[in-house]
Amino acid sequence: MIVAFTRTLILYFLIMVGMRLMGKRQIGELEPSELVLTMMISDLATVPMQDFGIPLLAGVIPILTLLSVSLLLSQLSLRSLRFRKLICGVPTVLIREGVVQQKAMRENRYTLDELLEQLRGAGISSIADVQYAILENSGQLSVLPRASRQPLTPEQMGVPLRQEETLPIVLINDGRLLARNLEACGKDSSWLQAVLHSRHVSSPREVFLLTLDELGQLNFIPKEDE
Amino acid sequence: MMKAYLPALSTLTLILLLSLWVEHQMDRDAQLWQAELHTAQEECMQEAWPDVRAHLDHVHQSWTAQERFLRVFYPHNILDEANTLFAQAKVFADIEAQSEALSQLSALQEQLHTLRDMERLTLENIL
Repeated sequence: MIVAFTRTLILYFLIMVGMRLMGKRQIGELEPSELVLTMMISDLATVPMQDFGIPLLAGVIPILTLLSVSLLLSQLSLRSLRFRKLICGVPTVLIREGVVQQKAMRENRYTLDELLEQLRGAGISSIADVQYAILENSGQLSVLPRASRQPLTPEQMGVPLRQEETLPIVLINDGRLLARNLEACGKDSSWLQAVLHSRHVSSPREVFLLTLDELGQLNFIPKEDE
Repeated sequence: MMKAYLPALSTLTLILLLSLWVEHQMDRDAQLWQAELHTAQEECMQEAWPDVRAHLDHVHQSWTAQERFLRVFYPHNILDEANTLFAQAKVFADIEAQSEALSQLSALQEQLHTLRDMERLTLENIL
């Protein structure tokens, strides 16, 4: 039992480190090489986890090898466009100025039903409304509607805007004071005490969320009684 | 520029070196064990039982000393089978049963050959 536990922990952390090294894209959007890697790693990890007759290294070595090769390939892809094209493929235009590119559809084995489904997902009901639909390497369809079908922006309407939206910084997160964020905002603990006092709160522990944006606006949510 | 490749390249190099080292170690050890078992086999044919037992004990001791290393790299069932063969060969040598001891010794040699062969970088192994 303890062997299974230890092996599982080792393999789990190894894969977690590997996935972190692969970057954030690994989790959301998988390109062909990344999908292969993910499938192989998950499969490799389960074998020594369950079968104690197989040395742990028999699972660890292939995982490390795969991760290293994958890192190497991504570095090479960064440096060489030709290599990237070879490994990841190239995005394909499926709709150009309202016209479905049937040859590209056939080449990518993309059915009309799939295309229409993706367009509906993008809020477009007619192919004629699409300027470009591009099948990305990750398999996602990027849809660019015709200019006449795009929503109006304040800029196009000539509406003056007050100011760009600013990013609120979290100062208290579920009762925990984030001192580094407070410092980054140029505030100190006496300012915070004054803010809390004005909201009838004596300690950060009583606050669920407190944020401050660049305009100086506060968002205060007190903690509910448990 | 090379810095970016360094972690991946060094991991791969390390794995390659480790694999080569394991192959070398196993090749060397198994060769010694097989040679000694072969001698034991010849002594067995001449019914020189004290010598058979001495050689068998020596190989077994050397094998036991290496067992932790072997368990890190080799499937445990093959090692367990070898352990069983060692035990049986020793029993047959103790009771001086020639044909059984000979058969166990040759099975043991075959098992060591399998172990030695497993880590060899050959086309047969890769395929």
